Amino acid sequence: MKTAHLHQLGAWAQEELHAQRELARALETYEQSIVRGDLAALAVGAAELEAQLARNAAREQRRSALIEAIAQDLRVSPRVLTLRSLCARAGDAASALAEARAELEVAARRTRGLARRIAILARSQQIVLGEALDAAFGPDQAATETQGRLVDAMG
Amino acid sequence: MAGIGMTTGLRALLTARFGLDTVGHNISNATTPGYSRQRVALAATHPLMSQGMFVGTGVEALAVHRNVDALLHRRILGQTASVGSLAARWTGMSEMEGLFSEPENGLGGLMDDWYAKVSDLSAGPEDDILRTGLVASGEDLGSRFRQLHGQIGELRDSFASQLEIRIGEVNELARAISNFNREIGKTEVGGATANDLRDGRDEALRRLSELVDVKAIEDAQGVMRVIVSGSLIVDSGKAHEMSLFKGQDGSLALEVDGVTGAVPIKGGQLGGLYELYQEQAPTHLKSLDAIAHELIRGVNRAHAIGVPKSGPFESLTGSNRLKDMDGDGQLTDELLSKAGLPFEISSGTLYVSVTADDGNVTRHALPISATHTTVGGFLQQLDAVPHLSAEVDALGRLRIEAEAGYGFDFSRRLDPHPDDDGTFGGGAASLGSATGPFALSDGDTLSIDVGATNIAVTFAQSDFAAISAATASELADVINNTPGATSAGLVAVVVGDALYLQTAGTGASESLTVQGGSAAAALGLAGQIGTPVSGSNASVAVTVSGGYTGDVNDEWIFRPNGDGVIGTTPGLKVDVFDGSGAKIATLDVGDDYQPGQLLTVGAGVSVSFGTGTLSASHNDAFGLDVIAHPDTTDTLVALGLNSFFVGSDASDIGVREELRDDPDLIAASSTGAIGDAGILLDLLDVQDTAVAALDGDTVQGRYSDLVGSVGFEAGVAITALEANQALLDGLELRREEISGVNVDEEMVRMMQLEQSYTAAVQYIQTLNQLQDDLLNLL
Repeated sequence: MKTAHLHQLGAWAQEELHAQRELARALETYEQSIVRGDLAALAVGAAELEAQLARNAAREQRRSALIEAIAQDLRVSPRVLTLRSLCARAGDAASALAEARAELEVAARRTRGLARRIAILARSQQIVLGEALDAAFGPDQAATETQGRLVDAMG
Repeated sequence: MAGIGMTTGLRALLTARFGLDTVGHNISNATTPGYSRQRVALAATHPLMSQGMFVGTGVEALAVHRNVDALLHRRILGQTASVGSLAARWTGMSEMEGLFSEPENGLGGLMDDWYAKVSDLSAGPEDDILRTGLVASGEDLGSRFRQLHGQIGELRDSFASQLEIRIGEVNELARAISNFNREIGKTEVGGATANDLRDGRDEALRRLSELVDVKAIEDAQGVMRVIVSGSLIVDSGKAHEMSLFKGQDGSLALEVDGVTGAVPIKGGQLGGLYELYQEQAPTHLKSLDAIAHELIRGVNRAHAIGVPKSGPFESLTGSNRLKDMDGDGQLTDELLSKAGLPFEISSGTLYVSVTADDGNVTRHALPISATHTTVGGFLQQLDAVPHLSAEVDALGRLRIEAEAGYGFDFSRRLDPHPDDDGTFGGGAASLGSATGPFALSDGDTLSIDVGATNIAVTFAQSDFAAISAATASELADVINNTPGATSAGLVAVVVGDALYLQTAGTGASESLTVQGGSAAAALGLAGQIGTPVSGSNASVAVTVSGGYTGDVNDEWIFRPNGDGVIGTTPGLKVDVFDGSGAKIATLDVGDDYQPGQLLTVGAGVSVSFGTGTLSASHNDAFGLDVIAHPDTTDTLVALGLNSFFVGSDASDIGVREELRDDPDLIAASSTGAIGDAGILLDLLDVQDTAVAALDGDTVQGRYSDLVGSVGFEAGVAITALEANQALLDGLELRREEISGVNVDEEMVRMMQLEQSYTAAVQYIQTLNQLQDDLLNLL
């Protein structure tokens, strides 16, 4: 594996690690907005999250191109390549990359945990509010209509 | 790390649910009176250090607070008390205004009707139907007075009943607040805030402030102490019961358990009701009583001196009762003016006229002193009137009776034959003195020959109040009581302030001569010593007619200006003097006068003279009492003698029973003459008479003022109520803004939140996908 590729992977890992930490911070703020039911904070959090996702898409593009190049160099399918296997192939030359990968994995798992928790929380709030609004205004008629209806087959 | 995540997530879920529960609680209680919007206080939990990083541990709910403005709450309590007080006052005054409403319940209209009936009767005072109509109208008027009095009394009683009920409510609320204090104490001992209990206590306090003006002080332990007019009704331990105490005079006082003495009632419905009971209702009742009292006084003052259709009374019984005020078992020792009669008696003179069946009238003046005349003394005065007797019956009412052949009244009628004694050209030999008083000395004498009999009169100091200012009456008593005088045919009488010596018999053969004595000069008889005075075979007949229209009681003296024969002697005139000695008329009875011809004296009085001889030299004269006010003392009104109305105020006013049974007893006439409606005209004047006891108002004017003031007070109450209610509404609105729950806002907010959460779920789903891709690569 080319040394240049190792350096490019190292730079991406550092950038991704920083991004994951930023993402985690944004998610924590967003979580608190959800819990507080603070509409303004929710709007700000959603906007930041959207920006983070947009930046993530750009990094994702660069990462895909790099993995594609490495896979060509190693004459393997890009789908089978992982950072852990690349570090193993490079041996001692990839020790810094291996360390960054480990940190990145911790950060990414934490971010995913946060995201799942927020998903449950938001879903839970959504259900409670939906029930409260149904109690106040009745079930959403449009939603009911899209669920189909019984048809008299003989008719 | 997984532990932190789980705990953080769970805490977040619980906190979020807590928040939503609070929103739901707010919405559920949106219409609960006194509910204060609640909000959750959130705070981030402490972060944990993990792998060199501070990792957030989520959020937690610290407390649920009530949105309350304590200062605003206090102002609302005070304002609520004001509105409560005004609302009670307005309700009460509106009810009272309804009682006075004209014309349905028109006491004013009934008064007008009664005076209209008086006016009708004045056009035909003998008309039986009109008399019956006047009595019926008087009964309606009295009945309405009594009804109105009763209704105001009942309304006042209802204020007392409402006070009792409201005090029961106050006690209930005080107990509730005390219970809330206990529950709040138990709940908050662990540091939690008992929001709903505090809301309940605040609501109880607000309801309490509707009832009475309260002050509430909360201590550091959350115990609310409630104070009414400086007295604690809720303290840290318990509620103190309030109760209503009714005094013997009917006044109400508020007492609080454990507090000595009465507690003033201020503000709230209690304050309003108390004011209505204690001030407004008694004031209007008192005004109504005063109006009835003055109507009775004014009408009876005029009616008492009238003469009924049937003429003078044979007997008359008062309708008011004399009372043994000092409780010694004797009525006669009571001062007449302080014998428990319902109307005041002042010093003055009461004139009683006694009429014989032959039409001869004698008038008697009974002097009455407010400070000296006793009941017994008054009875003696009446008994001393010839042909009358008086007693107090078993019920304490004065009864006057005339001997058979006589009648009596208290009218201002003129004596048609005023020269009863014949001192004005009468048939007896008559010699008049100068005008008294006379400056005599102890032991002075007067020697008089009556025919051939000499009578020697000696005047002793003991015979006079002051011998140096002896009156004609005192002199006449001494002469008439001199031994031998009566048997010799000597009579002494008084005309005005002059003494007249007369023979008992009449005719030309009668004569008397003043022979001398040390008193002759002082009596103005020195010039007559030794000159015989003879009687006459034809005495001058004096006849008075008309009705006196003057304003003051007086005695007019008629004297000839010379000696001569009526209708014959040229230039013979009769001068008329008033009580002050001023000449008020000169009547020509000379050769142009036709004996018997009516001559106008003035002030409604006319006189005619028969033929006969007059002698200015012998001081011929007669006196005529002209009476404008036969009772200047109000004794007749106080005793209820010959009254139209009975009673003393609005509670017992009515038409005298004898008049109801026999309307002929309406004393329409001031002279007893047929067709005379003088008393009815006086009664009509009552409606325009300013009454000092009514601050110069007329009776009807004061009633109009009363109706106006009741309406005005009701109007003021509603205006003040509206203004204060608007202020309270403003304060409540501010409280709603701060503490109330706006369901629409809460719902819109919930919908916005739901949309935000839906968006969040979508973002997180995308993010999860990316994170999964990243972790697959790692």
